[in-house]
Amino acid sequence: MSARRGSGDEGRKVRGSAPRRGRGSEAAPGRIEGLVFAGHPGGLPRVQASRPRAPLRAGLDAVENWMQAVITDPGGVAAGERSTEARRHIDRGAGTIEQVILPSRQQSSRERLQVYANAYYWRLIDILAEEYPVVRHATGPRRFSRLAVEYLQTHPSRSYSLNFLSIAFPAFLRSGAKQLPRRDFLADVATVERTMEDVFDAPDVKPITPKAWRKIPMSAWMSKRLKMTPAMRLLELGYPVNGYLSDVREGKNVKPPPKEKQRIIIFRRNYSVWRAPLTPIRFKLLSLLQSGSTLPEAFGACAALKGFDAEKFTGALKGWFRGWASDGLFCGVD
Amino acid sequence: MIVPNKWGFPDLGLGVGLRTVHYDHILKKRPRVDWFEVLSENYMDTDGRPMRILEQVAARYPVALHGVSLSIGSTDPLDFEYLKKLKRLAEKVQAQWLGDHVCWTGVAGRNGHDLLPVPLNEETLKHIVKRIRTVQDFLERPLILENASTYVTFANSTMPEQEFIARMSEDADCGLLLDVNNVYVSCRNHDWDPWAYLEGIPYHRVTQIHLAGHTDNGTHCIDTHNARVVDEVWKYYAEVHRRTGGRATLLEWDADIPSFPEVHAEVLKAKKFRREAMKRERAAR
Repeated sequence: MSARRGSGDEGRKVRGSAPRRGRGSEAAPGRIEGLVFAGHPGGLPRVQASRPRAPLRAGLDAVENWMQAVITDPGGVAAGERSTEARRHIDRGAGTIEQVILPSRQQSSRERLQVYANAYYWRLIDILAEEYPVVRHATGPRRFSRLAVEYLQTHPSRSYSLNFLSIAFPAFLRSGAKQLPRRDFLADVATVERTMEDVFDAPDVKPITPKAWRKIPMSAWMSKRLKMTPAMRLLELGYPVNGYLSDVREGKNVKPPPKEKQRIIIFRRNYSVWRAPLTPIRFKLLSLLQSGSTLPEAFGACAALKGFDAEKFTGALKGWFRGWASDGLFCGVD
Repeated sequence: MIVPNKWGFPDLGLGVGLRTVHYDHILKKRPRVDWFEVLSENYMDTDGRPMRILEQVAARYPVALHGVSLSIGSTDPLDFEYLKKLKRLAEKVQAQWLGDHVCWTGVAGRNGHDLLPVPLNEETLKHIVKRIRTVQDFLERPLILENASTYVTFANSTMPEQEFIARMSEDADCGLLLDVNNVYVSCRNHDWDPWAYLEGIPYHRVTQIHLAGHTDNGTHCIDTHNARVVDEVWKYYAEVHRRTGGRATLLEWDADIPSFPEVHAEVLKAKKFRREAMKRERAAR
């Protein structure tokens, strides 16, 4: 079993109130392939600072939509200025930026606006990199940044919270990203990393106590349903990524494993997130209990599995349930 | 003349922004800190360890909430789901007050998670005032809004930022969080006079003060919260203290964060500037 986080190691969740703007300043030009992160100086086409030709009469809505289009264009503010989206809101021809944004004594209008443009991608790429460190390891940082930019263009944040920014990243890797080798493997890794985030934040429900267990009469077990903790997920994956994640997180230089089905459980215990591989029968049993089957229903379904060994199953059951109970997977009985 | 806070919000003293890297220190050592400021969005959607820690902190220290996603300046509709969660969190931790920024974070349903500047003109003022009133009615308490650091100014701005903020707070009847580092950063970036800026602030509405460090890139400054407070910002702080007689003061340190004692020691420097400011005030009377 592998622990994801111990105490004091969940830094991603707390973000400061100073929005990240590169690493201490603006990003250096061209640090992400495919992006024109035109830093200062030299990266920006110089347009002569000029007085507005006529007073800017754009309303607040037009200014905000225009600015958002310009600073989120991966080609930089010059490309953003020319984009259809920006021109839909404010279009004063070449030098629109100079008509909307005033220069300072030290910086042109473009250089000033680029501060926001640089920050947009750096900040969000950093967030994705924090949430998917093993995907980043597997792709390498350059490809990861390109993937992140592609993802952000197709899945811009639509929530007040950064927690939800990367929710569609696993699905994007599986079927949305262009020209991605080993996409199913990467998507499996991303699925585990994202699920760990979800489990980390899941509702906190007290597990059932041993005393409460003992109070339930044997006869009741035939009809009752166990309530599983909401801080638990079961995943069926195409690649055995559990060990790969542990190795990478421990700093080992390992190769991606060959394709082979793996079932894993991810759960939270004492506010740390844990994951472990499961045999097919244990996975089946937990899945059925999680979906609301009674014990007899779940046992019956397990018995129908290919290669089911009743004697082995019966002998192992007590140990499994004891382990799951001590891991806090059960939080009540209906 | 010293101006009291309009709502009687207490001067909580010298506080520190609650950050993950300090959780263990705070829980184990129980440092003698006057109060903590908590970033609202980091606790609104979790019921894991961060929430349990926040509960412990809130049980021991006064806490104020500080948000980054209200987007009061956006032309998108207000997000009432967000406001519901904010209100619930404030009740849970018995927040002293709720703060956010004079800014927008996105439009057309998007969120860039940045504190973006607004054109400072009558249209924006009317728009923001209306939204602040709606939010305050919903939250049933005054909002405490902060002057953000900005890196651009707009051709269609028609008034200085301090005038915008003063009129906004009067018309909407909201409180202010005066970030003196942001005053420094914005004034440097836009060639504004910081003393004129400070002169224009309605101090009876100032409820909280922020201190922080920044990065000076020569041509412009960036509000990075990754360093100590610079001398000039301490001068502004002393001036604000002289005018207010004391407001809850908080140090933000968000990148390259040193140990808790080091961060705490930085905000405690404010004591010296508070003493000197009050000496000057007494001498002037």
